Amino acid sequence: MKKILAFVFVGLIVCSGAWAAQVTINATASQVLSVATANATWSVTLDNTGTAVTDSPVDNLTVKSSKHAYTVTFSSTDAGKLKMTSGTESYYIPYLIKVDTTGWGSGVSTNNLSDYVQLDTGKTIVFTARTPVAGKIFPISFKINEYTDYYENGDYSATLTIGISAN
Amino acid sequence: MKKWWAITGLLLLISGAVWANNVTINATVLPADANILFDSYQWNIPLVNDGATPYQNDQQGVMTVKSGSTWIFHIQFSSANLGYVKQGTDKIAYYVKVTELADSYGGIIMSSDIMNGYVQLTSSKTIQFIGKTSKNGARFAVGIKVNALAGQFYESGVYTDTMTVTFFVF
Repeated sequence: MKKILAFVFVGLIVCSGAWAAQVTINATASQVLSVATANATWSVTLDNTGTAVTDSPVDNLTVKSSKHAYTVTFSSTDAGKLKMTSGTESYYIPYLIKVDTTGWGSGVSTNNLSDYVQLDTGKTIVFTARTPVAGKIFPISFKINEYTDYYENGDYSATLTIGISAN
Repeated sequence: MKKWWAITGLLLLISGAVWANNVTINATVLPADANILFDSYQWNIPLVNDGATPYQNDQQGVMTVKSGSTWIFHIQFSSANLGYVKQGTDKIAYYVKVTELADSYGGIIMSSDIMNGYVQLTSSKTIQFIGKTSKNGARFAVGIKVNALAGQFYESGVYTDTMTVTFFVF
């Protein structure tokens, strides 16, 4: 009887023994941040009659982001003006850009291009939500305001740069 | 004579109970050669994050279970974040599966969810063993699976969880 009790006692003590191994699991979700336009070049004809020129939409902007907080920035050469150089002279035509993000109001906190604006400095759109993998598409519109003086005829150009960065 | 010693001992015990503070002594006798080892204690999982490609590695790590002196024991898998890796408030479900490697265990393994397929550690999962392991232990592949979020990105960054495997006697 004593032996049985002793075994039970030892058994109970052993039963309380437990120990563990721990493994740290790190999963890294890769980052996707991209912007793209459907076309690399936009061609606009200005008839020099003084009427405004509007191309809406001139293109579509596709934004992809795996971060929920990010900013898309638009900037332009020559502070938002088309430029033509002839000899030693340079001629400029201010142009305006608009980006319509109303289709994704829940994902955008600030859009400084919601109405036509000249890119005299960089203009931003601040987002607050990840896009789907296919991205979100926003129409871009282009405008040259009406004018009273003729523009020097010829070919003008500007380079519009669109960037994206995580906040 | 024996009775006299017994009475003396009893008196000493009683007097000790009167004058001494109580001290609780817990003694744990661990089974010999019992252990759980992994070939690596940090698993790094790269997620493609394209909304389509899942991650699955059926041998993310190799676990060795040793029980040299105990016939009946079980191991229990649990997760600090209940089966999710977390990054702040963002979390991703992951799934675990255990597979015996090359008949390395000679005893009986009772049927368990975590050996039947990938399971999320929303609660602890147990594998019951009947029979001691060899001296080198029984070896198991531990697999990890993470599903893609169809058409959606996971918030990019590093997600973490701690998985604990605990050895219990009985």
